[in-house]
Amino acid sequence: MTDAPAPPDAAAIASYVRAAAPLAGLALDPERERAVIAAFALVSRIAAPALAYPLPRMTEPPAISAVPPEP
Amino acid sequence: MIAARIATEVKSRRLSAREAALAALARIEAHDGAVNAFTDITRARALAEADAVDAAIARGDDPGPLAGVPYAVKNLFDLAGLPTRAGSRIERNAPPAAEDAFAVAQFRRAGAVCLGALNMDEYAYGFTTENFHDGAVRNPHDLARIAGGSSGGSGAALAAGLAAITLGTDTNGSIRVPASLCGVFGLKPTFGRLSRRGAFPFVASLDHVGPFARDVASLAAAYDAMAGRDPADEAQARRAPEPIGPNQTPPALPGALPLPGALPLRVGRLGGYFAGEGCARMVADRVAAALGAAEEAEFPDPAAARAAAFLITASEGGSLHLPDLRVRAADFDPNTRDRLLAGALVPAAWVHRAEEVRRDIARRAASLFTRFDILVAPATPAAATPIGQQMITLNGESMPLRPNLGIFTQPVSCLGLPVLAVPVPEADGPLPIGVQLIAAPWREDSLFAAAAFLEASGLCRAPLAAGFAE
Repeated sequence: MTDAPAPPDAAAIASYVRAAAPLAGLALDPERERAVIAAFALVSRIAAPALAYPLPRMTEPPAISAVPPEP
Repeated sequence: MIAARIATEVKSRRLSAREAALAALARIEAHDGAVNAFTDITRARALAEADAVDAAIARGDDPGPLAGVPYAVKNLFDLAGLPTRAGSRIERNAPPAAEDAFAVAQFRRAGAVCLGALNMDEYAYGFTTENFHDGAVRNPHDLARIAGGSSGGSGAALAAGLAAITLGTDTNGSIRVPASLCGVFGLKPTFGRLSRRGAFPFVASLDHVGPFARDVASLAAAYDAMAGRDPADEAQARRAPEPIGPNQTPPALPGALPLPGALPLRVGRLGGYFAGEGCARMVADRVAAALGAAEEAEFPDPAAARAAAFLITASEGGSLHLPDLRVRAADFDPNTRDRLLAGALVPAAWVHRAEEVRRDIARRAASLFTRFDILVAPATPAAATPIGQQMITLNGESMPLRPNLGIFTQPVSCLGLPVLAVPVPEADGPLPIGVQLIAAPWREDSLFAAAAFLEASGLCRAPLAAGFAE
């Protein structure tokens, strides 16, 4: 199994959003920042089962292709 | 009038395509003020296309399988001459589309008549179609309730009889949720089956296009018309169309419910996460029983599949709109803006993991279809909720309504499986609720056979909403 990245806690989310937004070129005023922190907390909460999913360690991502394989 | 019937009447000259178009335009004029399904009405185009169909018939030419069928499209499909607004304020000032989307061009070749474009959640990011710029779509079964989304206009226009077929898109449930809440049939084909060219993207690795209709034969005709290899769409599977055709669905059997054993499909009812509660559980159980489901099936880790789809959606959606989010965030719908901003900040490691989870669960799910041809699950956790409602209680827990209307659809589309949403009318008082029929990749034929069986039994049907009778 691979190590799953742990979802951050609320304080970490706020810190992360404050740090990441300018790196993405986003200037958030305080009101918008609070709203985005809340939205990111929701993403984090719903994402938790995927972040905790026990992936086989040897799983290699296949070549990127937009076209699904034939059955 | 349902689409298949209109085409028959037009081809037999009992009804002209122009008469059908004028009747549809008159219904839109009379009723859309209440429903708010349409954002653009293409009257001149509709009449020109109708006249072309009538002229073809007069010449003795084949007018196509959808001859004279009035239809409309979610306003993210390109319609030549119109800006493709995709539910947004930002895109409506874009230059008009130079040509029709592939699906629209296919419909034109099939003889269908385009009435206009339909309301949707901004950039397809939502399940309620309470669009800040264009207003909420109101559910024809109860005008105080949502139509579902993001293809809310597509579901509502059908339920009110404003079009005979509509087109929509489904990334996480945006065909199946409004089909469920509006009580109509909706198809999300296998990922990669139909060309998406000319449909404004939301999440390229999850987006599908598909049709809505009020009966199975019309849905099959619409799906067949949308099919076709499109060399210009590199995301389409290199696979020849596999049409359902008018003769592959069983004839209507009014009256008695056919014996379940008459249907040679192995059917399983998805349990656990997909059990549902209340009316949603009840309708899924009824559909499963009618199809003769013999045992419960277990979908591999649906919460993780849903989570993976959620992460991929947030990230791809946020990335797509990041340039506008940087410079004109105030122009976004408040209902989507903060979600897109948050999505633009999702760490790459999370998205990479979500892609791996998606692949691993798809691999595990493939084994389900060695035992089952059809899996049955609720399409939505409840019937249509009041417009403006923010929270919903599921399994005793209060949670935000907007993202959670897709809890049953999102894990399935994450894997690209084909799904046909069938409606059960009056499932919760006057309100319908839909049920997902899920098949292995590329087995839309199984879905249509099961849906036709359910329609013939009388359990699944899509009557016009009360107050919108023709």
